[in-house]
Parts: sequence; structure tokens; C-alpha cells
Amino acid sequence: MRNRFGLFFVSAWLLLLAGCAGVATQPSITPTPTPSGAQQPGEGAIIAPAPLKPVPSSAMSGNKAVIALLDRAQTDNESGRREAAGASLERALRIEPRNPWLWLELAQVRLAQGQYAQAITLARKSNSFAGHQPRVQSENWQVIGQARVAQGDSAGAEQAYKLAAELAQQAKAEADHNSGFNFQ
Amino acid sequence: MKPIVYLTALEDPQRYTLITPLDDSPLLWRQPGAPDWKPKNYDLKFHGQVQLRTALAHSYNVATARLGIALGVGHILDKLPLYGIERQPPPFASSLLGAFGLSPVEVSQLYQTFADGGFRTPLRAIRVIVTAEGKPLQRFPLNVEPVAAPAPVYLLTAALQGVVREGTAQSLINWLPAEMNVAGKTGTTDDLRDSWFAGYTGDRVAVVWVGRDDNKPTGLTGASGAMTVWGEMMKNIQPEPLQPAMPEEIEMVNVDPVSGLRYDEGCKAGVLLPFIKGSAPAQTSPCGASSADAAGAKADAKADAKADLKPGVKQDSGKKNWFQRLFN
Repeated sequence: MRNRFGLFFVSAWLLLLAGCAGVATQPSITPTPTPSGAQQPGEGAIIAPAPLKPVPSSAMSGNKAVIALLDRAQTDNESGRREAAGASLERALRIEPRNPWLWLELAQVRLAQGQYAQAITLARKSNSFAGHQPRVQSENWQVIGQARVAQGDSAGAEQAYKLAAELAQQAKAEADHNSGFNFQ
Repeated sequence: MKPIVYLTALEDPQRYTLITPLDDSPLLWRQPGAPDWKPKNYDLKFHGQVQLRTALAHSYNVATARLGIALGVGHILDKLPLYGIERQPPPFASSLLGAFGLSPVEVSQLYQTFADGGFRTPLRAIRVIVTAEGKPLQRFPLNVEPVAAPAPVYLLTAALQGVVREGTAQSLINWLPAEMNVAGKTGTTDDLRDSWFAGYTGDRVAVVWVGRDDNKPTGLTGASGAMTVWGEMMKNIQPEPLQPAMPEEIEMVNVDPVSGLRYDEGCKAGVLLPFIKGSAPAQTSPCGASSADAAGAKADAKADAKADLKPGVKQDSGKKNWFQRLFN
């Protein structure tokens, strides 16, 4: 089940040029600022691939304590309690220090806090544990791209987004392959 | 300090790999402002040409000194602040052999960075300060800085695993099984004043220093002193085996441990070692267990299937097929 939903949204990135988190369900083409908000729309704006549908926390870890911490972190993060979200993720990381999803989540929290250099490092660290998991790698490059936009590094951001898009494609291809489901 | 010298070398894969021969012949080093320096090995012998991984495994001072001088003493010492070592050692070649005193906390920070694939996380004793009701007043969040590229750090870890598997820390096997794949390094000062062991498993980094408060010699080497404490401590906390994530830039290549030439892929003899892509030996050697390796291959038959994935483990004669290996 999860795979099918996942790959619908993975596919959607191609159609969407940009989007704010949570509106990735419609393939309407509306160039909007990148999620970081640092870049205004218009000529030369760097366009981020659409965010992928969130992976449920239960797919990020097999450990119940970690899942509970992830859920709490996500709730805190959505309500803007970034510090508390970060603290929960750090606790989760003490349980599973090599879980790339946890490092990605922490990178996203730091991004939201405006700690761009830290967000990039954490996303890279997540990638170092990701092995061949294009889904999480794609999201890491998304974070790196957004952080670079905010830092004013457009060339670097573009490169990161390109990688994010390629990896999202790979993830989609693998999901298709695994489920035998063909998205049209 | 030695690992930083080796890491600096491994960061230049066109010049240095784990099997690059180093020169462990007598050295007299003259440097303005410093007394003449004639480093000696602990066994008071010189070993001629030795592979880089062997020089680190056996902690050869002379080969390390020559390597450090070739790389540039200043170039190496300038990296220390990256690893959180603020004190500047004297700019002499002798500083490369650990001749200036680092504290256990500084050494821990260094090894934390190696254990974490080149990402430094500043060590903290306090994570959060809370009120009596548990309300956080101040947090000290996790902070991560990339200070070394993952691929050379991966090679360094492989070399430090060699220290435990076949080098100065071999007797650690009395505390922790070989499958733990511990990476570590002993440290011994000339006069046996300080005994060090620093190392890491899959989830723990620890550093032990043993010395006397009156600074008299302890009579202990790194292996006979600090390492025994380290082993006892680790055994009791049941660490996870060390299996670092392999960076994309790394490939495993089967080489003849003696000549350093490459074996064909299907060859069962030889040692499987990690290389940064493009740096592995191009020249191949005909397959066939070299005389030096025959005994080792037999002894390691138990190490078996996982050898495929682990750096530096001799390959088994291959009784299991690839499918069986998946589940081993």
C-alpha cells in the first residue's frame, strides 16, 4: 500500500515545478517560490523539485521508541517547536545513530530554523548512511538545495536539485519495479 | 597523532593507498631550531620497505616520520584545529609522532571524527539544563561539522582495523571477538611513561590513558596497559560491531598482500582491500595463493563469507555461494 501511494507522489514531481509542503497533490503548474522562501519567483528563479509525499514514521524505523520520538518531533516541528523537535530527534539518534531518516529529519528541522550550513552537513551525513536508498538521498539533496538557495548559492542549489530529481526518478523506477504498478 | 599523518596521506589517492610502500630505513632529520632527530622504532629495528597499512599496524615510527616529512609537517599540524585540537604543537617533525602531550579528551575528539566518517561532533558533557519541573532552560544541540572526506577516513578505519587484527593491538582479541572489527591504535612513549589506547566499535568511541601522577614510568606499553582497560570496559558494555558505511568513491580490490599487485576478480587468494576508485593497482598478477598467504588463508577460513564486505580480511576458499552469503 505504502509503495503505491509513495510512487504516485514520486511521479508527481516532474509535473510540479515547485510547491509548498503539503500541496503536492495536484499536478497544476504554478511556479512559486522555493519552500525556503529565500528566492522570489520570476526570471532565473531556481525551481525545486516538488516535495515527495512524506514517508510514514513507521517506515523510517522498526524501533517503537524511535517511531514515537519521530512522531513527537514531527508534531513539534509542524507547530514550530523546532528546538523540541530537534531534541526528540537527537534522542532517537542515540538509539539508532546510523538511521539516515533520522539525520534527514534533523536536517529538515535545522533548515526550518535557518541553520543552513548545519542542515547541509546533516543531510550529507544522512547520505553517508543511506547506501543505495534513492528516496532518502533525494530528500537530502532537496534539503541541500533549499539551504543553498537560502545561502545565495544558486549554482550549487541547481546542482543539488538536479541530483534530487534524478534520485527521485530512481526511487520511482524502483518502486515501480517492486510493486509491478505502472503509473501513467 | 600518527593517524592524522596517515589520513593526510590517504587524502591524496594518486600518491598513497593502503599498500603504498613506505621507507622504514634509518633517518636523521635536521631542522633549524630543533635538535637533530633520529626516530627509532619500538623494536629498535628498521624494516626497509613496508606497506602503509603495515607501518600503521605496527606503529613504525621511522616510516611514519618519513611519511610526515614527505607530506609536510606544517601541512599536517595545521589540520589539528579542524579536529578541535586548539593547542599548536611545536612545528617540528617530532611532533608528528605524538611527542607533544594531547589530553584524552582531545584524542577522543579526534577518534570520534574518524569513527563518524569524517564528521566532527564537538564532545559535550551537558545536553540540556532543565528546571526542577523538567522545563528546558538551555539546550546544547547536536552539532556536526564535516572535517575530512568520507573516503580517506574509510581507508584509515580499515588501516586501524588492521592494527587490531594483525598489529600492535592483536591481543585485544582476549576481550573482544574478531567479528567486532574494532579499529584502534596503541600509544607508547619511549620511556614507558604513558600508555594509550584509542579505538572505536560500531557505536562507541573510547580513549584510555594510563600514567602515574608523579610522571614516573609506568613500565607499560599501550597494549599492556591502556588497551587492557579499554578491552575490559568495552567487553562490559557490549558494543556493536564496526561496519562503516562504504562511501561511493570506494571500491574493494583483491590484491596480493606481498607484491601489492592486483588479482583477477574471481581469484580466491589475496587480501580484499578498499581503494579510492582509480587508485588501485592496475597491474595484475596471475592468480594463485602466494606462499606468504597460503597459511593465512587457511587460518582465516572461519572468517568466511562476510569477508566480501570487510576490508582487509583474507578471502575464504569460497564454499558458500553468493546466495548463501546473503544470509550469513
